[in-house]
Amino acid sequence: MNKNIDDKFLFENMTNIEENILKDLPKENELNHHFSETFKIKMSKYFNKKISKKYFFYFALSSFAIIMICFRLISNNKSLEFSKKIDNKYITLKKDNLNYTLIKSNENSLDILYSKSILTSEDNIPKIENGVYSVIKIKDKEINIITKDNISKAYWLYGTEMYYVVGTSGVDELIEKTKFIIKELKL
Amino acid sequence: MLFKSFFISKEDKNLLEYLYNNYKQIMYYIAIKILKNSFDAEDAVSEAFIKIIKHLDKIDIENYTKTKSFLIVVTKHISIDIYRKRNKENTLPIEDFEYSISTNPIEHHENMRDLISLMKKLPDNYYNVLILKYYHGFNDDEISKILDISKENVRKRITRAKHKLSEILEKEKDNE
Repeated sequence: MNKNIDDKFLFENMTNIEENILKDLPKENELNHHFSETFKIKMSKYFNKKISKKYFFYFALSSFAIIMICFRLISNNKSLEFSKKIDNKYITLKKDNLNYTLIKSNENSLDILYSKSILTSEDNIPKIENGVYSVIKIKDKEINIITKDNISKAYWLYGTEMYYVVGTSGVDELIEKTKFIIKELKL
Repeated sequence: MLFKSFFISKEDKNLLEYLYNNYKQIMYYIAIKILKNSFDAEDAVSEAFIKIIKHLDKIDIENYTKTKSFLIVVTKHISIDIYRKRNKENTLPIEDFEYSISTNPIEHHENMRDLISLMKKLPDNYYNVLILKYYHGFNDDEISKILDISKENVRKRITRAKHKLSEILEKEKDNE
């Protein structure tokens, strides 16, 4: 091995190195440390405190929200709003103008993640560099699958909306998640 | 940043809970490897979450590996910090922390396997800074905020990390 350790070399190789090192770590579901009650209480207080304090700034945040709504209307942003919440089964996260929805698969875990957007251009289609592309059929729908190592994404069109689902433990898990979402959302 | 330390939005709270539900075990695994004490390791995980809240904008929830890597870097950084504070009288220089995660050998391309074993010989504080810069693509300013060190220090660590890697590489060559 004869390499110069420079920026170019590190930019080219760190992704592969880190992903291979992470691959060797145990999976989350293989670990079962029982956290102490003190820890759980501390974290729970911490999460709740953060939210309750927010109400002191309710007015300021509301004003900010109004400004943001105006801004969105002006900029004609087409990203779709998710407001669907059924028995707290769905939780919505927001990132880069896209809403991601987490579904509770059981009482205690929030582990199924999907998103949707209006298909406006090729830019909406998820990409994984050097990923392997394939197509499968679920309920007569053509589902596109991209995989690379443990990262995988499924995407399909439903009308003008494009749904995509994120998988983190291989293709089989991704297909199960996709079937669940198609069933759950009655697509 | 200061505002985020005290107040978070509903979406951020959801994101934080998602990270908590899905990554706390691996974070604990990393912390216990360094601290060897369950109480301290749980402390490190909770402090890591407090830290992460200031950097939620850097979390790419779609990218499981990057998210995991980021949380591990933060947890390692906090754990090393706790270790140093709690062992003041018998403090190891931070450079002495080896990459301490045990791994099972897997089949890689020969060159990549060499690179991985090379990286594992790099002290954690050097490895963290390289990961944040060359894998996550953060700039010096962002790295300095994540690791609570000055930008000058970030640059120094990157330079030292490269030197250290070259040194290790030289040693490997001599051994061959």
